[in-house]
Amino acid sequence: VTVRILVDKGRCQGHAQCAALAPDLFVLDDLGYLALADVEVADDNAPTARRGALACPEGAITILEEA
Amino acid sequence: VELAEHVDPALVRDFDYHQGAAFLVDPFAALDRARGDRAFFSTAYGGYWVLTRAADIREAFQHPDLFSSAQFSIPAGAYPRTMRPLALDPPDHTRYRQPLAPLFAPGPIARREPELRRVCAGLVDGFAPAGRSDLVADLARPFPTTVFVSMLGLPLAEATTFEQWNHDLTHAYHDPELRKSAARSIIEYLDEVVTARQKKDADDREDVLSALVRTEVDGRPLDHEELVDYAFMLFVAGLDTVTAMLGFSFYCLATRPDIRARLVAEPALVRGAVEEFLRAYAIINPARVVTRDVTFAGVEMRAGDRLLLSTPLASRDPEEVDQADVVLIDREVNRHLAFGAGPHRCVGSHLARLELAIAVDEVLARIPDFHLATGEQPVVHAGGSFGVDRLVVEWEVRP
Repeated sequence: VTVRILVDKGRCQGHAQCAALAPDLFVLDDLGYLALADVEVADDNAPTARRGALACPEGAITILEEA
Repeated sequence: VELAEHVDPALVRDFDYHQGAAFLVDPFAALDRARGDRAFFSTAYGGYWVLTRAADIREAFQHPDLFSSAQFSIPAGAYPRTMRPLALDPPDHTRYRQPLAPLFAPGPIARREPELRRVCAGLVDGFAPAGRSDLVADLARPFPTTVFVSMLGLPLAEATTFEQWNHDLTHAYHDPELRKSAARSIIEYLDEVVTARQKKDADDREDVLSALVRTEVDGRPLDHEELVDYAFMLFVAGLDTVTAMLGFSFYCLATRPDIRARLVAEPALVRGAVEEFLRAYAIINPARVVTRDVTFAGVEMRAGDRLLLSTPLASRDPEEVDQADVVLIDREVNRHLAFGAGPHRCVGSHLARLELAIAVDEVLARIPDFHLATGEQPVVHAGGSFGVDRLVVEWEVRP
């Protein structure tokens, strides 16, 4: 299974709630906005990635899991 | 208020979140009771729509093209000019928000932790031996005020004056003249401070105002008025809000021994508890003005209508949150809207979170067990921002 984190950069407003849960997965830029737009992560990170996505007040993060 | 033609009389409610009697007892319960319709219309303060669902409130925050911040509070604020960037819409908002972002980003704020902890610990050490405290007077007001004064490089001795001005400005709904005169006093004061910063020293100073003096928008330095607009916005946004959140958080801790005991046993839970306090006691009730005729949240709105985007209504919406009216400090998911959403997301949110966590840590480390003082009930206020005016608690002092 591949796990991808997709970020709608237009929606990210720098709440940083994803990074508060998993700073290594959701890397922020100097201003506190998500630095990544589309990144593949190890599949054992899937549960944490999903929690991070759910924590976003803007709904800016999507997790794609492909077999 | 004469009702506009497009407002369905069946959606008109007797609703006054500023001074309604129920709001002065428990503003959150009063809001919860207003939740029946997806949107309704209040005739108070000239009339406005109220959205009650988290999904609608979030969407409205995210669409500044439809819902402008040109009027961001009900009634309109007492500031005679444009509060930057609060009262602006994109793309102007984007340009004026930029200079603030690096000053309040998570990294720079985290680096202030030791200093903030020292300030807070000093305050708690001051009242801990007494066995009794009004936590609003002894902690919730002086802690954020001291932090604000230090971040802006202002003299600490003037903190009490700031607290009074800010209180009059934000809460004197019964006295519009008092609000205006408080605004004038703040502007006069900030005028002088900004003039002094512009004249000298700005290059060597690390405070927020000096950083703004050095910054550029559209390739030119900010002018005097713009700097005062920023300073005023920081003044309004930075003092009263954290005070209010501390008031409600410590009210919860004083009345929920189970939560207190868990946090004392497991300090690592404090950050999550702070998020839950922010959700259950979201305090800010911002407004917007409709820019063009639109059907939204099932009702017909006209350009010029105002609408309330209450963050407590959003954060306590049972359609989005299980047991929304209960404080549960270890929720798996907690995407409350206490800091708003969209481009105006509270720029001070990272600082506010840190101050709240530090205050809970430092109090519980010294006073693990406290409760409301006998015969005392907390005194709360409602309106654009809910808050606590008095919270007297007692504890046993061990020798």
